[in-house]
Amino acid sequence: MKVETEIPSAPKLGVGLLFNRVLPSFIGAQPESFDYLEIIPDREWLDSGVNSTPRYSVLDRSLDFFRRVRDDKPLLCHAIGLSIGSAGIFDTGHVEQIQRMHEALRFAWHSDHLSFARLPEGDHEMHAAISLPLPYDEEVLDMLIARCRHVRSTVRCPFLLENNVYYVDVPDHEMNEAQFLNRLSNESGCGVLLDLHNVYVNSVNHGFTAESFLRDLDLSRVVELHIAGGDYLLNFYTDAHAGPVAEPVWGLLEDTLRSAPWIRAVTFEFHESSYYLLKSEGIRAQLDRARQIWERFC
Amino acid sequence: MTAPARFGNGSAEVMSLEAYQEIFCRMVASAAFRDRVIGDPDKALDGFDLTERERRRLLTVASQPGMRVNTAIHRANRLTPLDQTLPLTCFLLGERLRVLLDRYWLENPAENLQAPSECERFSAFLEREMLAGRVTDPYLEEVLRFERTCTQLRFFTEAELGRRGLISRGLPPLVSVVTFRHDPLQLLEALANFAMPPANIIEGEFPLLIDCRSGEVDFRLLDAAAVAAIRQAVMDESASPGPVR
Repeated sequence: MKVETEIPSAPKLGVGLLFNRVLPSFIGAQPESFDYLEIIPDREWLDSGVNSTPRYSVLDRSLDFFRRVRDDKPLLCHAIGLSIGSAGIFDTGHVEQIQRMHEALRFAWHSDHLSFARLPEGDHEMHAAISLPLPYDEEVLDMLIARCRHVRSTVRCPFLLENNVYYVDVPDHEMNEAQFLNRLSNESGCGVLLDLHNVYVNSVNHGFTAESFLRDLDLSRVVELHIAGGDYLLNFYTDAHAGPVAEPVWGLLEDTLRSAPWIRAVTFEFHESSYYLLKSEGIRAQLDRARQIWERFC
Repeated sequence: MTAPARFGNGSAEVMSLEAYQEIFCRMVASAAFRDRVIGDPDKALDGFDLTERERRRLLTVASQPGMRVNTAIHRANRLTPLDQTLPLTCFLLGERLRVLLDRYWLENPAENLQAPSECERFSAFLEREMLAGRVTDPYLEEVLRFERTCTQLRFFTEAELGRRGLISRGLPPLVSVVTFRHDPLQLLEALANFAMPPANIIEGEFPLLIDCRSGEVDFRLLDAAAVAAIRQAVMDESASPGPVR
């Protein structure tokens, strides 16, 4: 059953950056180089745990900084803490905190990851410290559809889920990743944040072509694209966000922008530890190249 | 846990997904557990409520090379918040860090990867190790106390500092004093330049003022007059002495 979605109402933003700690000087010096800023809200608050009151505290100076950015540029929210695929936890407090951040910073939309990382452990939690893949089964789909609906009814802006990166092949899925994303977005009303580097990483490590994945995916549900670079570890190509965008991802960006009707934003991600590889000129070069491609198709 | 809502259809399949995810997660965090699953699955998975398909999936992924990548990323992601908040402490520990991290991670499964939370947990762990005499170092205690204080001032709100009893009397909320037993300028400069500090750093009582009101960490040594002024401010606030940590 196809569910109504806010995707067509999402504003067209252009090319942006995922915020990290080395970016403030770049943001101040080259504001014309990006159209919006995406922030990871979980890094801006202190979460004292679900049993704590108050649970969340947000640094005033963080909010003040992002409010100043918000005066000139739209903000997007890209959370890492919901762990929407955890069977034993659905953290409604986290969802409510996203809504509070939305009230403070007025995000154009918000997103999180299609994976699991958190597990209940007695009175505490265990964290995998990595986004782990979900089985693409009907039962998991049912669980996620209910959760997406809860998120959509709580946070008053469109909600996207990002395709995951994975380093092991879980056997016996009931559907493939693209089919699962199509069903999930169509039946829950959420949009898709398509991380093209994740697709590329998975294709390199698991022996399929990124183009075949993109052919299977319902591109009419894709609202935002992520582009990034990676690195090799133990003979695997990983989503390390190391330095410039991987060259094959530029081709995927062109293909996707040519085919997908509702893409509103292209976000460049890099890890702050790789700043020395990029420096300001390198960041600017990635944004300029993304903009050239964006302007050809959007 | 305060009732994080559980959704889903409540079928045996979804309920056992919780056990499947727990084992998956444990195999990522611990290569030793993963080896036990591979070597003797009946024993390692005994007591977990798994479907046949989940069991098959776990046994398949356990022996895939990608699990080593998952474990390496898990360890890197656990190290990141410590590297961000306690870089000088980690450098000072040198070769000892690997063994300490192995024990810390074994005894303290990841709960929350937020930098200040991990800094607090690892600092408390190191303090216990020092108290028990398992880690000895002439500079470790003061370098750890310095970096922990900087992290608290950088990441905690004033309200949070107040709740945790971390506001120093006689000083503004985002300002604190850490007293070193060795010249902190010499000590911190060596560590910041990735050099082990020399053994002959001048000893004494060195109050270092840490000021995070700008959002960045500034610090300077206090002279006797400044210390006296702070003590007077404390006396004015209450009869209890000692704003220093």
